[in-house]
Amino acid sequence: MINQLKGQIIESLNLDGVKPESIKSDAPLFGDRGLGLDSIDALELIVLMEKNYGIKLKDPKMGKQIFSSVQTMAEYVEKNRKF
Amino acid sequence: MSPRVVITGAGVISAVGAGVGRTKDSLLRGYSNMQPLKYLDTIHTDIPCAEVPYSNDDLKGILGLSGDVLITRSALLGICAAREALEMAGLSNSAIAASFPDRNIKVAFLNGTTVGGMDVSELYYRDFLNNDSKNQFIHLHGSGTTTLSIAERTDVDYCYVDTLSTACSAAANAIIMGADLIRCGRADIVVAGGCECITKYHLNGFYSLMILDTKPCRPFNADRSGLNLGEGAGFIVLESEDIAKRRGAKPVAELTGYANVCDAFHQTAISPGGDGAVIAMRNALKMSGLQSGQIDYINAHGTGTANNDLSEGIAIDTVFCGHVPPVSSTKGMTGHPTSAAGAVEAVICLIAMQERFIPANLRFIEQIQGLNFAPVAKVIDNVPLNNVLSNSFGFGGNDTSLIFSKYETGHKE
Amino acid sequence: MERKMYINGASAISVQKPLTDEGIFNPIKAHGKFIRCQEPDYKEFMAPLAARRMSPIVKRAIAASMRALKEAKVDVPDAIINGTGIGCFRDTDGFISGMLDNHETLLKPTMFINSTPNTVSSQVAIKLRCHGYNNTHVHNGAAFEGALLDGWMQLQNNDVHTILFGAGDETNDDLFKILGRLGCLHFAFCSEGSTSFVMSACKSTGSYCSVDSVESYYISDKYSKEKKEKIRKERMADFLSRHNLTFEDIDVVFTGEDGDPSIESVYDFIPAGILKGTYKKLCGEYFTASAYGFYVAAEVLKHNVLPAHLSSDGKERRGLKRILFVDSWMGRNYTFAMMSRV
Repeated sequence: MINQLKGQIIESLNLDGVKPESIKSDAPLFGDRGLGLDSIDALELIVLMEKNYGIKLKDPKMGKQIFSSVQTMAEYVEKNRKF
Repeated sequence: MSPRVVITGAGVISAVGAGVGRTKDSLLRGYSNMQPLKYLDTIHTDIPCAEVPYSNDDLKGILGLSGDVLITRSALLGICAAREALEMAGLSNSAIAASFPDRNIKVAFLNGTTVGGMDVSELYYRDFLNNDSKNQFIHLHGSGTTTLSIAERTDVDYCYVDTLSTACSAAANAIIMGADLIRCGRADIVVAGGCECITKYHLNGFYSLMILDTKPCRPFNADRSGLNLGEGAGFIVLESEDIAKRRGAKPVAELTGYANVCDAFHQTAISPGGDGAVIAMRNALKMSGLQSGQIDYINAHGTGTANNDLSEGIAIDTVFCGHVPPVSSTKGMTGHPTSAAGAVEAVICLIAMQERFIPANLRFIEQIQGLNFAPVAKVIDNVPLNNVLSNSFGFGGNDTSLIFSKYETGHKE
Repeated sequence: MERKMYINGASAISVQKPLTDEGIFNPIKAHGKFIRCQEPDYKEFMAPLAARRMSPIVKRAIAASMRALKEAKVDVPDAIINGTGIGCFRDTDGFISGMLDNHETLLKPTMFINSTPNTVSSQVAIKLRCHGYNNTHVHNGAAFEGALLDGWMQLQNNDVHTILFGAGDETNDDLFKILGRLGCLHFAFCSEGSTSFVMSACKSTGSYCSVDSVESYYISDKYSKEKKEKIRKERMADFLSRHNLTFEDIDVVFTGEDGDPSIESVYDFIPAGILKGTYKKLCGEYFTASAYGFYVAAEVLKHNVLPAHLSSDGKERRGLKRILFVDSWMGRNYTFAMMSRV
């Protein structure tokens, strides 16, 4: 499931040339030390969760924790997915 | 030496009323009417917005346009405001000819808008792509067309017409360009402002950015959670002091300073210190020759979003360092009319100066942590406003500040 | 006394080979009625992470701007002014189509943010960290001219010495479909492109030419045909007399008429027999194609040659001193620019 999620993240954020294998599951997604994603990407990840898993996140501030890494995102999705 | 730029007319329409008179009453009462959308067909019926309380047919009726005229809602709002501004200024082709029988007076028209004719395009989009049934509407899409729809329905022939689009600072930048045209002699008089109607396009756009409040907005509150989308139009008549004098027009104020700068940080987020806002306010002050302590009121951009109000607040603290003048955001009443905001709020500033009051920042309860000022929570009556600063900050970091001053005859030092 | 502007850097992305003037002097012949730009390798101008969200119109503006700035030896301009007729069409189309298809759910925030016309000039400013004056003009077919006049005034009024101008429009299959159905087939061809200029109050050793004056005016549609003709003639005469010039002093006039034969009447104030420069056969028709024409005119003055294939009488010219650049949007907005060899 984590690999599937990595693929979806790459597609959703248009990360051309980034391979799922190169994203470490526990590496930070945001900020300079991570994949370098920003606040707009966070919004796209919220849409990704709704589109692919039926999870509706109302409070964008929760995103900081959920999207901390692919691992934390996968855990949140597993716990809250509707389909 | 560049001529002084005075303001001789103003027109406005927003959720709090059509016209300067109604707007003044609403401001004094602290009136707001954030409601689910009545005229726009959308699934977002739970989002409070500040819609102008007239349908397109109502607006056509008010303006004396026939029901089958092909025109955008933004243009209809724009015509309301532009006609009012020209009437207040006493301007029409015949009035200009009477005042200046031997001289060709150059009048320009500048409009700030972002959505243009999107209210129509989004209705017929699928048809535009796939069949010819709605071709007669396609030409309405372009922003320039909305501008022409307004300019051509006023009783003035223009020497120059243009459309600007810098998101929420568009109308303010139209005002700046108008002043520049006058200062370098390319125009004697400029009708400048902006118009924007609510569309599904940007309602959904803002919704996707998760910056819409599900309740009436609370600018500059610790517990704020977004903006309420508004709509409207505002136009002011700028003219060179000399032309105003010659035709016996009484200025309502003078545009003494302005600045258009870019935050250059991020497409949606503002730099932590509000750098663009700091530079805009400082440059406007420098141009006006005023010290920061001479500003009597700031009409803030104050949308009610977490990011804007904190960053703008920090910027205000930085520029006014220890002596922040009264600050309020009037978007608690008008909502955020996006591209029209700079002009709607310019008119609000002019009303406030004329009537000597500071409009309230509605729904204020708790000061934002980290800021050294709280906004004005209730209307302050009977206060002379000699110099007023108005901020408009758009997505993309397009930051603009305008300074309006009481018009005093005699040479400016 | 108005200050002149000097074009010290210029670059374009179009149907022709990108970011080089080769396309002006050795153009590829466009085949077909709907033609997209040739794109450069953008890796030279932006990291892939930064570029991933950018639509073509933004990437092109950044690449052309950086080339023009490099040529002008400028790191950060004092102002960035952009013009676009139809804005960021690809993302506008994408957002609206998605919004309609999904009934206002599953909305794409990136597309929305990229769809507002000012996103181009703001992303250029972010790239350059430029806090200066930043404006976007969107007056349909007069968008480039609005930007030009705006920049001209900034140079006269304010503490501004160097301006980065840009103008561009992008298209996609949907837009081509619509244009085809609306009967735009009398154009040379429909296309897209982005052009950037760096202009300064100061001449440099590499200046293309000077821009001695920019003037714009508007003619109301309410006027009679006769009144419009009269105004057009008067405005042209006024402009020339302000420069103490007549048409005899002008070597070439650029109008862009070759893009759309149906619009010749809006340039009826230009005497028959005057040598005209043609450029739409190089770049095609789009709202801001006149910016490309301005670039061609600047190149002609820089190299002091109007090639035969761009000359209305098919003959090459050299020793050119002055070009009059004229553009009109639908016979309503008109702009004149006087360009001189330096």
